[in-house]
Amino acid sequence: MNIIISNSSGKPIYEQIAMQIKNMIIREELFPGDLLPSMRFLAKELRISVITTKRAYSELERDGFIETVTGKGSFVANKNMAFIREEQLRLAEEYLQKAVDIGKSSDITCEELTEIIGVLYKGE
Amino acid sequence: MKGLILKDLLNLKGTFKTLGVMMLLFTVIFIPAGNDFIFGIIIIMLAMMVITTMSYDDLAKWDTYALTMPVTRKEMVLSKYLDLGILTISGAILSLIVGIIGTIIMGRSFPMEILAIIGVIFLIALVFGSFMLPLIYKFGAEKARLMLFLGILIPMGIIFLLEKTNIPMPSTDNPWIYLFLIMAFTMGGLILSFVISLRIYEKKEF
Amino acid sequence: MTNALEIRNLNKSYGDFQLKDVSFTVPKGSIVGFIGENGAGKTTTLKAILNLVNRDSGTIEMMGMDTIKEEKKIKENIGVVLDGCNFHDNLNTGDISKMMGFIYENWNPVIYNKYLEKFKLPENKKFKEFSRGMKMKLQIGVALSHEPTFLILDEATSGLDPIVREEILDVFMDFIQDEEHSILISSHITSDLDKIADYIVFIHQGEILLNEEKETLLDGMGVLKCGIEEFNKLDKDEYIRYRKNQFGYEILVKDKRGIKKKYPEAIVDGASIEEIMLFYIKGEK
Repeated sequence: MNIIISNSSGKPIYEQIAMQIKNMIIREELFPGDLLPSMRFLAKELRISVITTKRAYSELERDGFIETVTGKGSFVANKNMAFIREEQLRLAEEYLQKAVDIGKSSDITCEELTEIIGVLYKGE
Repeated sequence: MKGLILKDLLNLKGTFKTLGVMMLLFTVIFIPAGNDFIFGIIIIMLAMMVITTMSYDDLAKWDTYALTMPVTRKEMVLSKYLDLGILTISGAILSLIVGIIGTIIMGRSFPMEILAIIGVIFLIALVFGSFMLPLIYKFGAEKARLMLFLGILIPMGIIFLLEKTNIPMPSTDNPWIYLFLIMAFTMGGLILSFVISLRIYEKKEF
Repeated sequence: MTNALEIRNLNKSYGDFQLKDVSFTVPKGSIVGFIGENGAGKTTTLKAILNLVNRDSGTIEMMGMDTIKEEKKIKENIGVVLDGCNFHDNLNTGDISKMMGFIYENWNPVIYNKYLEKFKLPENKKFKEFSRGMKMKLQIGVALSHEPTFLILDEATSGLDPIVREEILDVFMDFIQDEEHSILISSHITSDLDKIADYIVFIHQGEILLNEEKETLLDGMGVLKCGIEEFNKLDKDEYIRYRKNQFGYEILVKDKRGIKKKYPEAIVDGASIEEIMLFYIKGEK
């Protein structure tokens, strides 16, 4: 599996890692039960701190994408992929609702908001 | 501590070889002439090699590194005293061998004086070491080497005094008491020297 | 979970220099990078940890044991590399192994030989023929060959070319794969620490200025570059230090994302450990 991190991207490294693994799970490049590389090994290969990889894995675990078994390692969680995608969509909708509320109360049009979303997708 | 002594002996390999050649030369020159000078030289030179090991240590900043290992300061100091002992005893044994070879070659009978001379110089070398080691710990091997020249005067002075003053020579009835006294004095000197060196070393900062 | 190293209120004076209430820990399983300019107190602190120098006050514990009371036991389990210390010129790698076999309970000649091979260190050459890099690699090999759980490294990569340095960093990263192992590394080569450190401890004039997770530090801090007008608009608590040149200001800020949000037009770059150090030492408040 490929994990590519950028030192100059605006995003913290742990977020980049978490996101890439998340995407691999969602795109079904990783399957439930697959063993992920150990946090230490990942840190060594990417030449970053173990604390960073730990944080990335914590986040993935918190969001339900992986499970860590002490002594054995971290595995892709046995969850329904469609369900997870639903969850993420719901979460995104929740955040977007907040943006829409702000927009409505400050005279920001739907087009302006949509444009912002487009810019954000392209990355900062 | 065995490790420390081993390291010192390994370091001296080269010096031993040079010394060996020199000794061979001296032996060839001095034994036929009937000169007993050679025994003194062998023992003293070997004893002085302790100083060489300490200047090697200084060069490599060895002590700073060594003290990060499971080695106590006491062991560091004790190893030098054991070095002194080992080297001096080796010197005495070598002198004996040279003496025996010498008498065999010269066809004489083995004079007991040689044993006495070796014994006395052996003890003098130890006393000499007892003076030198605390000085080295306090001032470093290089400065101590300078003091060495002055230091040479001490054993020579002792020998001189012993000859000149009319200290009653041991009566043949009790030579052993006399011998015992000298040995006790030397041992005492070594122990005192060790205590002083240890005190200096324990306070040292690296 | 016991810390590999815990220093509490270490004080030591040396004439006109003083270590003042130095405290920090090395959590088990982590790499702590120890930085500071020459004379800031890095080496003195490390030497105090190793009992090479005396301390005026403070407690130091390694793996839960007091470093004075259980010195010998601790030293069986730590590997140390000190810059400037070498093995005697006349010795060779075999001599070292024989000696170490008597000194360390867990000296492992098989592991030692593996490192000699890995580092390509010749067996029968005297050390006076070794290059600086070879001597350093040898020290590291020796430090790792008695199965230590904690490595203390003082400038273990200085004077080495980037290729050798990467080789050595890899060895350290391998060492840390075991989560019982920890490393305290003091280094001027902060770019190495940018890569591998988990925590950064910054000492300056005998006092600890910073003690943080490296990622948080590098993720948060940034350098804001602007002119005098913009600088004057900043609140004092928005920045840490600043430096000015003939053509503008460079300002070390604690929260680069926050600053970027507040001043979206502003130029805010990331800060490396080296830059952070320079700002703290040479910048103004």
